[in-house]
Amino acid sequence: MTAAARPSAAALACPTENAVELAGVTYGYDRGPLVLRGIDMAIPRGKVVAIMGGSGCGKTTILRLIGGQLQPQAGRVLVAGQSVPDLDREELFAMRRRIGMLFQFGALFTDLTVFENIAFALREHTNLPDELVRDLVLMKLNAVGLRGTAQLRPAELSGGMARRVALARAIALDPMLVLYDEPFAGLDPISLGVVGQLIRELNDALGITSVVVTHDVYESLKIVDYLYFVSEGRIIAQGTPEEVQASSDPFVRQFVDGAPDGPVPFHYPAPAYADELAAHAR
Amino acid sequence: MLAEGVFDGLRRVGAGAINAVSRLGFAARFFAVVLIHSPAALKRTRLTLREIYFAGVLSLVIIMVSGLFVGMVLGLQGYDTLNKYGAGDSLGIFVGLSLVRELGPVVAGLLFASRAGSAITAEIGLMKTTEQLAAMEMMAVDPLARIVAPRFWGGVISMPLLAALFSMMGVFGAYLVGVRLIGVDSGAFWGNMRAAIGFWPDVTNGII
Repeated sequence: MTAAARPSAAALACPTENAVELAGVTYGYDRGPLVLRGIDMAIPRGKVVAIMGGSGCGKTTILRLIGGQLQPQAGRVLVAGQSVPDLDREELFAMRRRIGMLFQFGALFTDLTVFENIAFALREHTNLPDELVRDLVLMKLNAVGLRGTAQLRPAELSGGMARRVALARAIALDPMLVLYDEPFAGLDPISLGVVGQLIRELNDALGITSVVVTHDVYESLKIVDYLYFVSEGRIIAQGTPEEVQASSDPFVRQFVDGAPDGPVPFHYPAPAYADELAAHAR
Repeated sequence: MLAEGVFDGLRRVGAGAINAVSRLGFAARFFAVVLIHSPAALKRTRLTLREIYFAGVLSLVIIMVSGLFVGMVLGLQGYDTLNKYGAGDSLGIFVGLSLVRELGPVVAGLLFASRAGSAITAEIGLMKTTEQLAAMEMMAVDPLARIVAPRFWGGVISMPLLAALFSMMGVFGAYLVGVRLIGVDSGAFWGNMRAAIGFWPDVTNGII
């Protein structure tokens, strides 16, 4: 086989064209109202895709469905061609070994050092000798620029540093897919730029696929290949960053421009203001 | 009206019973899953040893100090009462039996639950709220095997040892007060205690 014909590592890890596919996915927590109402989504291998929307619109629920933490009430969730809801626990854990996840505030293990946090998955799932684990951990830390923090505790890190360490931990097992849950939340502009850049660079350098759930429009438009906008459990707009910036869709415009009123109203539904104020006079 | 109230009451009793059974079932399932994961957790001795240290070794001070003072109080009050009937020499039996059979395991258990139990609850609660458990699950590591099972066995191993230490310190406290302070005969104190307390029926059963 020639070098040109040889499949890449990413292609071997994810044999299908789309790393993630959602078709008609519906979900509601317990007996509450539906959070997702027929989500269709295709995330191609090797791309950085953002899922955007206001707070409580169901973005994180989509990530949880992809990671198998939740089961859809209807519809299909495929990761690398495998139907996630149909996997038993062992198969699900086998799939998760190929998925990295960055949680909103890092979710680093507070009783372990930075080094031990990143070595955690390597020690749990491989029998690599300590010297090799050490080198691998230092390589991952170096990739996020924090090799010097190896012996620190998570409590000694700033929010941005903790997020970068969590990113290093998410890629510890060289996953084919990385899920980012609000990676930019609560970061200062410098840390925000660093994390955004790392997401893009690691995605391209390691040949992985990235799904970024966020509401940070400015940073997302700089680093992603494609965006989905979710509102009230439905995908209401999608496109490349250029298409999104040129879009005249009212929701997209309100979201991108940060307008206080629009399809997402400023006022929560209530009786007429004048009627309520004059109520005591009647 | 009356019938409605009666039905409401019955409904509440029924709901309470169903809730209680459901919680019992949850606890039983949880216990079973912890047992299933236990061999793997016990194989990784470092994890269990760490929990024995946190649950057991760090509880030593509170257990030993409490044991000493409980024993001293038993010695003082026990002697006072026994001596009224001329049975002051039976202080060793009184203190030994009450500590080894009941007080030691029960009080040590309560102290263990309040110190180590609450520490474990707070630790796991914090891990839950900061998504550490979810992160572990997403890394294909079962938190029940990695977090709960070692803590369970850390407690199971530590608790009897702590109960034994509590009883030992209690007997020592009673010795200090009864023999050294009040003047009960040392030979009678220890001899009567040894004669009355059996290793299997009292010490082992108490600890178990």
